[in-house]
Amino acid sequence: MSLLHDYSYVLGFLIIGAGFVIVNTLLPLLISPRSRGANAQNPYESGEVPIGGAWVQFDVNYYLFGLIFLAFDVEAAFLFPVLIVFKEFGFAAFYEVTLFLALLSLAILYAWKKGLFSWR
Amino acid sequence: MEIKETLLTTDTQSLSPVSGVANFFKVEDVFNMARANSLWPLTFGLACCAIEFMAGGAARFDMDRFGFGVVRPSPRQADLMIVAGTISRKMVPCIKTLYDQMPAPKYVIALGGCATAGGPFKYPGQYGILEGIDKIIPVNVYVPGCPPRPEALIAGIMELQRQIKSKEVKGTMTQAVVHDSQDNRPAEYKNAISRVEFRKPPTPPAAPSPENKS
Amino acid sequence: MPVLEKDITSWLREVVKPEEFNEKNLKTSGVLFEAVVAQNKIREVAREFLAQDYFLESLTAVDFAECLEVVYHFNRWSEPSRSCVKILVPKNDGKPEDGRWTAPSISSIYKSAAWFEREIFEFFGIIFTDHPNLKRLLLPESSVIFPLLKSFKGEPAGSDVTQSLKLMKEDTEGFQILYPQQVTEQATKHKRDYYLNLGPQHPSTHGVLRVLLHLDGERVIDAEPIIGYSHRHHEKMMEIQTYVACWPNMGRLDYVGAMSYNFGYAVLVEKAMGVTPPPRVEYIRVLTTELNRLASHLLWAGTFLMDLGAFTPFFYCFDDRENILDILEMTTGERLTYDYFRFGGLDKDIHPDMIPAIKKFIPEFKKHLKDYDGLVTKNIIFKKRTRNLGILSKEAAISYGVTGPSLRASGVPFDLRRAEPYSIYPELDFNIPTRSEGDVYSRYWVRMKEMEESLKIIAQVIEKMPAGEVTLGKLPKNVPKGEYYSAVESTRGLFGMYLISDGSLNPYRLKLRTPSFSNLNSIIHMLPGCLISDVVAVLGSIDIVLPEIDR
Repeated sequence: MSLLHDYSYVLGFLIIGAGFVIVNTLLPLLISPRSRGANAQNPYESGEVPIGGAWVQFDVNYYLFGLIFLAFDVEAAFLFPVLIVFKEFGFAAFYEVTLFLALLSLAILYAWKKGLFSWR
Repeated sequence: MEIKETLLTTDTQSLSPVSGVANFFKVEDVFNMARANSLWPLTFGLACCAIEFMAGGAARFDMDRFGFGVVRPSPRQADLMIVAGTISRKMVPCIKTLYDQMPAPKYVIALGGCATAGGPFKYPGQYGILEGIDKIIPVNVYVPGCPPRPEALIAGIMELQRQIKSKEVKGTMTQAVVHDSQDNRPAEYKNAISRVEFRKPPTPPAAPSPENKS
Repeated sequence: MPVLEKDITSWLREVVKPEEFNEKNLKTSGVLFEAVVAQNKIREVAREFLAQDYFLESLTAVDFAECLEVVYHFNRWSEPSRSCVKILVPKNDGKPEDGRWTAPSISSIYKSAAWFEREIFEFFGIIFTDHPNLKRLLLPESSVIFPLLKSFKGEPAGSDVTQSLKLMKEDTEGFQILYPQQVTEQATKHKRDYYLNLGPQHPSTHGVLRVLLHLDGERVIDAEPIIGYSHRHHEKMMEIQTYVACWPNMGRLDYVGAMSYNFGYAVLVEKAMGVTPPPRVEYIRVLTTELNRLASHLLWAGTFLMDLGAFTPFFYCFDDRENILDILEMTTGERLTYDYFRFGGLDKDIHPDMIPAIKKFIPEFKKHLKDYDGLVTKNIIFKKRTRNLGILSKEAAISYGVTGPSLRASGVPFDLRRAEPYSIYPELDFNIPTRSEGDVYSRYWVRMKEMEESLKIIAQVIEKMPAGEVTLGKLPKNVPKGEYYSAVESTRGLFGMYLISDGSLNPYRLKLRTPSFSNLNSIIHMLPGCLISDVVAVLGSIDIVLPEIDR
């Protein structure tokens, strides 16, 4: 049962997060005045009529940047819970976390050597 | 406690005040106070007055302490459009599009003489500017000057804040007020002179002659 | 390239055989000579001038009763040698709408001529043959007027609202009809490149400039600046006002560096009238102009660094600038759009507290300059962002007619305060900072060093200022008949004015050759190949002010 007790924090976090989004989306719908001009729904491009569409083939570099970001964002997300229980586990935790970071650093090194961090 | 009527409309929202020990604000007052104290201007400098707007945001005059320092470049995120500078006719459709793209409630301040009524660029027969922004969009506050000092701009925005809090303005789109041009001076356009006449050397200034016709 | 150094005057006389040729005095009229050549010879003339390292300083047109005169001014970096060449376009009792007023275009030889010729087409109706893109430049595309012709007597009152409504309707139609069409077209072609408007409303503070970028991913293929959103018809207005009534215009053209524009106008009309102001006036003029130059460079530095993402220098620079504005406000009463000079003198004498305030200001500001040095100039992030970016070569600089600090950062020590001195600049001791790389970092460095030189000038002027009067008394209200050209070094480059006076109370034609007009064209050369974040850095480094481009 103590495990489920820990997860109750996660549930609280979920409720607050989702609730914040829902309330902030619905509240303006209720209280703000409506005022739409002729061009309100049109795309914003500094005030001028845009030329051409935006559905073009995207450069594959954007995808690679996004991929690397995702990988390291997840790594950072794993590190946060480790912080909380770090003290209980002592040095074993330290060695494990160092190993974790070192393995992921190899991935950064590989990406760096392949020239991913400069825009081609 | 009786709630006499509860109206949930898109424009106003008010619960009837409760008489009792404490004094409750109407919900609408709270919203207006929130709107007034955190106006987000749109970065919209056209000419010289824009520099005074920037100086107003810099260290000495510091608009941020009043709440209107979060300047947003995108109209979707802004609620105050400060039209700073002369409006040339080529710029007019741009201004109208940007005004349309701002979500309500939205307010407009005309900063400077040019945005109010054409400024020093208004002469009989002018072909290039729009004399005042209130000819196409509704304006809430006019700040005169050429250019007005940053303190004048801050005073103008505080006047707008007062208007919002006292519910004089709602921030919805209304019909623009079209003023007629009041310039009835006769135009003094001259005709072209002949090049041959122009190239002749000027007549030597004979001392007693009263005028010098070229 | 000619093998021998031919004198351009003798070449013109012998080879081209102009229809008219007048030798003139550089001091009184601003040009060495003026020549009227036949229309079919102008391209040859332009090629020869380019071969002898002249740049096209100004290109304008004048409306006379029987013909139109297209006036070319060429100038050189090495020594003052401004030359005026004209061609005549006969009117033949026609109207501009007929399209029969033509002249050959020199835009294939001098790239800066492309915009000058578009402007002449728009204002006078002269069609330049072989021009790559002869469209309207400053007025809306759907305009039909030719404003600077003398036959244009103004628009009726209330036309601003009617034209605005028409333009707004065209814009809404553009959104409803044109844009969806282009979206489907683009989608069916599966191309990689797309167009982006760095539009008239953007957080950079240069004013209302629109740059149409043609992008492939993050790289710029092509950039086209589109101007005219700040056109305030100065030139037409000045033809209707008297000379004295034109002073407020001079303050509003380049509003951050307005004193140098005042200076240019004063020098022009004093040259035309043949008067010299008293010595105290010259010293005060130089003092206020150099203070204004400091304020203008500080504003540029603050906004340029803010564009790059550094917010701290913005506040520091604006705070220093406020101190300078306090000093200038003591005397002139204005913070920004000065019109303090008058013909033959000044509006009023300087405030007695001004010089002590400047003496207090100079050592404080020197300390702040050291702060900027450590904070920005030696900053590794700044260096990595701005080195080897936006390089302007000397050949491009001649072709585009670039002047000012942008030119001095490409290795050319051309400064009108030394090349064609006016006022008391010959007696003052200051250097012209130059740097040879021509990238964004160099342009920044040159302007920071110019601030130090301006401080030196101010210190010298305060020491040497004589007592005396500040006005020449009443001058005649009209300027003697003739053509005059004068140029001064404004904070952004060479500011030239070409005046044609018919002896009456109003100028007949007053052309303003503003430095940012030519400088902006050079981004067409510098931008292709940059990333989007570099576009903002390059645009910021050339230091433009839109109202002086659009006039």
